Amino acid sequence: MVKPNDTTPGKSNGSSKAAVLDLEAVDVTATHELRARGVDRATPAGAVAQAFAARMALPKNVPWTLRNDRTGAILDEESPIGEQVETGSRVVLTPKSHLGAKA
Amino acid sequence: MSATLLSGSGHASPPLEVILPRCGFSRRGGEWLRGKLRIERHGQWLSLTVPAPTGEDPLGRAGRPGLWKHEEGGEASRVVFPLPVSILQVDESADPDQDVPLEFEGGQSPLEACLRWALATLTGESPEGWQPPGEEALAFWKKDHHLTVQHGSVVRQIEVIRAGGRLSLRVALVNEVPDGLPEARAKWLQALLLDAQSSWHLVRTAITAERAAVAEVELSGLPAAVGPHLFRAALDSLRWVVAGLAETAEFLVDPDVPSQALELCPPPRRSSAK
Repeated sequence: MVKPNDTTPGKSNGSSKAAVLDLEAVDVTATHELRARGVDRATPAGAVAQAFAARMALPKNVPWTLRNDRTGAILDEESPIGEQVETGSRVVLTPKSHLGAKA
Repeated sequence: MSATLLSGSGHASPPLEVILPRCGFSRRGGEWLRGKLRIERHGQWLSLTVPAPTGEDPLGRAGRPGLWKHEEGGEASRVVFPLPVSILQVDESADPDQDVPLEFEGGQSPLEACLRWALATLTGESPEGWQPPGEEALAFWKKDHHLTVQHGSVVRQIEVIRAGGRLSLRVALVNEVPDGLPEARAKWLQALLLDAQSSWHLVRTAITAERAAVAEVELSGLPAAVGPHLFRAALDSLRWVVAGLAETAEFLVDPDVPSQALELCPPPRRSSAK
């Protein structure tokens, strides 16, 4: 079931609306969906992914990552999300998977 | 009460009885006073306090230099400048009768530097000639202390403001308080922010001109002697505030969440500090 949800993960401390993003997020099974308003552009994508996973009540013991739904690119979890997607983007919450044995 | 301070190298610095008179304080009836200024010790915190100006907006001090903040609770409103004793290097085990007052190596002790910082910023101005630390120093201070706070579904980014002779840490609890927020909800939000400001040492709260509810620690004028320690304490304070309050604040301003309970007036404030 798709359950629309709103979340407001914060913006750049109220100083400028240009410093924040509005995003749509969906988990990889398209079971959960949410709209995030005011995501601070400086926030690392990895922290945003974990917050989205918590809001969707997804397992906490899974490392989550974000994929840009338009380009298919996996977002670098250490880099600011504002450098990787534009406001209005749709991102897909995906569990990090490792194919084969750990190097 | 008496205490001896230790310098970074472990040498004794002047005790309170030496430092406080140098900063204009005198002992009256067991209290250290300077005009209306009073020094209080509660647990691991030393605070300078002064009665709040009549009619002062309790959330109206955002952006002003120094740690001064409005607190309500108890008998009267007051303005407080809190200092963690840990950064002042108080040696709790020292016997004041056995210690010989010595000058602090390199000039002012951390306590004296902080007292002079508090006195200088009491009027709302930064100490004359003070400049924020350089980027290199800030990078060292921030080392291993992340600016991102992720707590459950809440994620926030602490902003380090270093511009125009100012150093401040600020984080949004609510990114945009709706203009049409019902009066009762607005009062609940204000009560939450006031409670946070009075409960969490170092932290001031405010609703900005951009309608964001923010928490901040204003470090403009911060003495070099305590710079990294207080900076990291401030970061930790903001992290705890976000973890404890951001979700509640979001709930209060969400018009899509009906609540009959929130249509009632907020309860009276509590006055304990963390």
